[in-house]
Amino acid sequence: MMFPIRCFSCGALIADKWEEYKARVEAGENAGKVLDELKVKRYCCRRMFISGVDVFNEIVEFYTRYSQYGTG
Amino acid sequence: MERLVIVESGGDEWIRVELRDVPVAIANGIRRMILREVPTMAVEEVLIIENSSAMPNEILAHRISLIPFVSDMDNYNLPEHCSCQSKLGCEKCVVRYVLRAEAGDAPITVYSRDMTPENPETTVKPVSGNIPITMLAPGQRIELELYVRLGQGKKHTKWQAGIATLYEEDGKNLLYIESFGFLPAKRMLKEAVNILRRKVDDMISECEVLFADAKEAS
Repeated sequence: MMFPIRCFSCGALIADKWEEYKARVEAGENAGKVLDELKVKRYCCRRMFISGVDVFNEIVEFYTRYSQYGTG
Repeated sequence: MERLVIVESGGDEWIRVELRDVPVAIANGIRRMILREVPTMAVEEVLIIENSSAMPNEILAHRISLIPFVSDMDNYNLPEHCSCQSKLGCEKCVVRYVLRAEAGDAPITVYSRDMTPENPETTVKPVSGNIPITMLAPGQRIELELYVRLGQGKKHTKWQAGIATLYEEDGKNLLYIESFGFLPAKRMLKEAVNILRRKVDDMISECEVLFADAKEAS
């Protein structure tokens, strides 16, 4: 699914930092450094980011193509 | 001598407090009040008018409910203590929001900033506008009505005001308080102390009633 709104363990808000994290890491920056700069300091929150996978993107992509071919 | 001394502070986000001459049991009481009792605001009810997105209603509502709202606990009441006693709520216990989004030719991401309050002047608003709620493929649409209410962490963690940890370092008792954005960290401490005091006061008056009965019986 999409990236979680809160950290599973401590409950801190993390979703607002996800897009910046993802963009910067995909641009080649060091993930740990980006998390430090985003002030994500506890390891419970940090693992949410480093293990985060956006599966929902693929579902949306499927529906996008599905609608292009007429039925959706 | 001051009992609570702020030794370190990160603005409204977090504070580190040294507890001088405060029994550990009471310090722990304060810590637990922050986790369970300090009232904050979050979406409690979601009315789904339309949801043709790929995300099921329950997951969408759950994601929205976890968004912290800047809380105004001075002007709002907990729904269970509100004088209106209405299931729908009144202007003293509910803030209404609407979330409407539709994808055109390209897929879009719906953010927390897309939620529009019924009263544009309200101070109760999402802590951050950059929280992705869902994604919509072309032709998909969501239309939701959201009811933001005051609540406590003991009922649902979405209302947990922040993090509080009590620990000992170099013989000092320290309390670390971090806010999730609902309230400034200092305000959380103040409210926690007030709630704890109110609880003790209630217990004392209950005891007095109990002892009065005991006297009559004897």
